[in-house]
Amino acid sequence: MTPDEKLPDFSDVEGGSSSAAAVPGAQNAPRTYEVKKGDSLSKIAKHVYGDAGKWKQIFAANTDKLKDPDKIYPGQVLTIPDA
Amino acid sequence: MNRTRMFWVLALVSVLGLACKKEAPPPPPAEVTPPPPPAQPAVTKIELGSSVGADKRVLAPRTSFGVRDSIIASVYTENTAPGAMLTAKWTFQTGQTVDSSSQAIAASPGVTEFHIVKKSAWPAGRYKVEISLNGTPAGSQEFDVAK
Repeated sequence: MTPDEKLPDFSDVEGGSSSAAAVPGAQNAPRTYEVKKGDSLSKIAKHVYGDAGKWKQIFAANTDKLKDPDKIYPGQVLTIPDA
Repeated sequence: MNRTRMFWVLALVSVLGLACKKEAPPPPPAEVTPPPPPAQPAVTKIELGSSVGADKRVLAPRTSFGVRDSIIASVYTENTAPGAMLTAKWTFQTGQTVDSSSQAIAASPGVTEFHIVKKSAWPAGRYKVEISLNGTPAGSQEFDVAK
């Protein structure tokens, strides 16, 4: 980068953090997501994978609790497969 | 006479032999196994993602993000003492610091998440998050932001 090039502006970046106890053995346990009001599988996929089109992966991993990909309910806990 | 004398000579030799018999060496001291050194505090894993569960683990680990994504680092730690501190320093490919924050570790083992969000779009390029544990570099993870 030459001195004339403008450096990116990161002044509007907000950071944060939090910490929790690790449940023994949970490091490799399936990851889960609790459905919130207004969620859809594609919205969850976009949020989790950055790709709404991956909703089918979430549906496929949760066929034991989902019969219709358009019907999910707040409070349902979905397994989130690795991308 | 000779036989009696011979008897006494043999008896004397036997007595002297017993008296001079070398004592059995004492048994070697039992081997003492030193106690294992205390386990060192460590960062065992760093995962990146865009969402995190209640257990602070990212839901779908990845290293590529979109320009509007939140970016979260889950840092797994072990053998940390109460009050141990983690620091995450986020940098862009130019070396610019994007953000830096510290967090006391809740428990051992523990998972600590650090997140960054940007109101405007992230500049595309290569980023890195460097993790320090009690001020000592403990790991890093690079990731890309693409349009």
